[in-house]
Amino acid sequence: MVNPIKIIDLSSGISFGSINSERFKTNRISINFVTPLKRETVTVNALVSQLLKRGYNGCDNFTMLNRELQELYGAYLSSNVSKRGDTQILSLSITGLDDSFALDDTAITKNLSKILVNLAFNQKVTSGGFKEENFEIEKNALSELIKSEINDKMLYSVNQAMRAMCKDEPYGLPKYGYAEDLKDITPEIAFKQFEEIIKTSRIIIMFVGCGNDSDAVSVFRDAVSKLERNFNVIASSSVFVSKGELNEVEEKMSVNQCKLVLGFETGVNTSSDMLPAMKMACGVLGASPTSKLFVNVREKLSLCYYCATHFDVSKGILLVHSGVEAENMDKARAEIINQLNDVKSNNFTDKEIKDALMTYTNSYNSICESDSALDGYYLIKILDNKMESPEDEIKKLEAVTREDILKASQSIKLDTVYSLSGQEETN
Amino acid sequence: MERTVIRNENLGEEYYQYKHKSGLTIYLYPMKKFSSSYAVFGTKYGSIDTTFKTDKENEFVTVPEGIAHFLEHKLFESEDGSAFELFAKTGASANAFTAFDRTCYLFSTTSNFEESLKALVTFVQNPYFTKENVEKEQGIIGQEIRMYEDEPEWRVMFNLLGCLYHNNPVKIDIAGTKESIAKIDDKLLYKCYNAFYNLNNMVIAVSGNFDEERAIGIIEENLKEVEKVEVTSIVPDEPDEIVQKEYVQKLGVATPLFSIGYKEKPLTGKEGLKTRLCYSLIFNAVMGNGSDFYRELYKDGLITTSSFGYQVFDGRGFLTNMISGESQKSKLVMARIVDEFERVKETGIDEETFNRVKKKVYGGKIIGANDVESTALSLIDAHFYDNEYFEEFEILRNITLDDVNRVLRSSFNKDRVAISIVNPA
Repeated sequence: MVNPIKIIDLSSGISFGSINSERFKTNRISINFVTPLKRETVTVNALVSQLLKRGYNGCDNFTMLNRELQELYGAYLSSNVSKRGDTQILSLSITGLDDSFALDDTAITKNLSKILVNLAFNQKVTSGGFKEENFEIEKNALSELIKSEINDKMLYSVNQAMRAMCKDEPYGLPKYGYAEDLKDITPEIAFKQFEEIIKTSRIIIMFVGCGNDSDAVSVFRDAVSKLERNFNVIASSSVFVSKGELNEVEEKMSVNQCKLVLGFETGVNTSSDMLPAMKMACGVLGASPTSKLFVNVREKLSLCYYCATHFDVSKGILLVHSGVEAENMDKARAEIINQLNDVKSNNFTDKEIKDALMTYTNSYNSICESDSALDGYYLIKILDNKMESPEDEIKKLEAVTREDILKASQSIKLDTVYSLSGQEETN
Repeated sequence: MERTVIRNENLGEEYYQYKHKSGLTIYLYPMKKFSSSYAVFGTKYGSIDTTFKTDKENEFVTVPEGIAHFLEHKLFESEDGSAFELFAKTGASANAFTAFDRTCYLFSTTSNFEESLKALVTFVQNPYFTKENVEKEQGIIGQEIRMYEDEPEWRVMFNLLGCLYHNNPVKIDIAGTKESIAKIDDKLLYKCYNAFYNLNNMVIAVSGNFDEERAIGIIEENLKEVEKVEVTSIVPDEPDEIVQKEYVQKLGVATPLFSIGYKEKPLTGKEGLKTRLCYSLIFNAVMGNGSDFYRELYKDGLITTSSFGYQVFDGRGFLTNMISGESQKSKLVMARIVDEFERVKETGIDEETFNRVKKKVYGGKIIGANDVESTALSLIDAHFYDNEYFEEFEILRNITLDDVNRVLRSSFNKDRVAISIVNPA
């Protein structure tokens, strides 16, 4: 059983969301700073996110911090940078055993709240900047992280396609920013930006676990009462609009398998009533092993190991991505378009609709089975100010008719074709 | 069926073990506070089982590499279509994986558990291999192999295993090669299926929110009557020594990746479990993120904290203590690691560090068992290691500093360590 979410407004633009469930043996606390995604700040924000998890005033280095976490039964600290529409979200989260599972009487959860508050609001400052000791190392580390995106060709190709589509808008920025920006960032610049984030960003704190959240609430309430805030309301993300001309992007790299990504404009994002219908259309096309893409492109034609859809609801962009042999690129592309045309021309069965619905139902219901999934789901709901539970989402999908799917599918238009293929051998 | 209740007072949880007359073991772990359930049907058959015979045969046979994985793909096909169709009806999310020493079929669901369980038990017992459907799969798996050829983490690991193992098939990619899978046909698949998918060689684990009696009823009703088969798989003799110190490959990466491995003796049963836990404690103490050594590597710019990690990489018949990451100076990282292990062997791990990392590993085990999926998979894991699932928590509580230092001094041999590096192309 998962109890309904409880939301407390701690201060202007600062919310505390709490979900209690005795199914977990843990408590997870996260703090999320939601800021506009901008070319000028994308890199420095990512760097700030890396720096925060290294220590705080009174716990000078990460060795001390990690030892502190180990003493708290291996509590797990992580930082994350993500993009959601036209915003960049910096998250710090801590997960630890509930006090009841400690082998002694350690107050794990209260201590974890204090550590998180210290990391977020009590950083050590030397001459107006983040302390310099490890600043260069962290810059190098972020630079390596940015560059290592190419290691995962599947993810890289999807990101490249998305960037090609959104090259003139914020969503086209990479979430960790640009390696070349790093050289100009000083400890002072980074700290100034951090102060700006604390002052102006939308801040959402989440608590998910079996324990009592009252200590966490009071620790955070106390901390945010001291903040000087000038909070900027986050505007909802704009839907992607195609320029009308087909954009073909070809990239060469040392690879064995080619990657093919088709990017479509759908015209439907979180602010549209058509969203459930569009989700269902994408589902019929490629959300499960019984969907059109899997059954036809993989199973019937045996062109690939994977061929799947990814629907970005914040921008209303549909991506279809696959890994294929060079000589099969055109064949795969044609077949993907064929399958989409089948959806558009009402050539899909009631069973395909039902399968898509069942797939979504299972995945929405599964959100409540994991603390991190609950955290992520409700973070977005609080941000969008749409307090719908996973069950509400399922109900909306259940109400979608064949006609709705057909109507939604008509607005899906090919915008970009991205391919990644091997370099010709020169020697 | 014979039913045993297995309970752990510290966690306040229990599960049930059933022994079916066919030899099949069944574990049911109710987790009533959750809404979903998860079931796994596994066989003790993985990519390393390429040479085998059953008690009905006289001669050992050697089959092409990658056949266990190929079989896993093909089992999803039946005379009436794809097994995915069965799960589409129930809404369950079904999948499968082939590892070095096992193949598992599984589903996760938040509704229609009973029909999904029936579907799982049924499709795994009903192979349907034809010449045509085998040929069709060669294209799909061919692309899966190609995909892995471009995954630097995967390549760096297999190149390391190639440095460490002379004969053990663990060094061969689980999916095989384009050439080896070309040799697979329907007859060979049936041969492997009939040997390894005998219930006597299999296990079922179910966790989550389900009715115990109904679950066991469904399993029992849908088990086919089969003659018991004993299968013997030969893993070739493996010397203690490694093959070579180093292997370097070029791929499309930005920063070089490394994987360093110490070849160790594989162990099973209680002693094996205890030793693996000691390895885990040693890693945490020596190079965990709270250690001085880790901090030095970081400060010297030798590793990045987002990529550095270690694991006890093991399975039936092999064990490697593995350290991986990204570095511009991989060989220097290895030299520093080797020196550090030699140094700590001399001094021993101290009491304070030991107590701290023990708390961490203990908490980590419970945090890791925080959901339905990992519970079922851990039951399967324990089964294939001849352990009981809760044993791990109890052994860990009772491990002493002496145990850990003894294991440390008898392993991490500097003559049995190798490095694999993937450099930018």
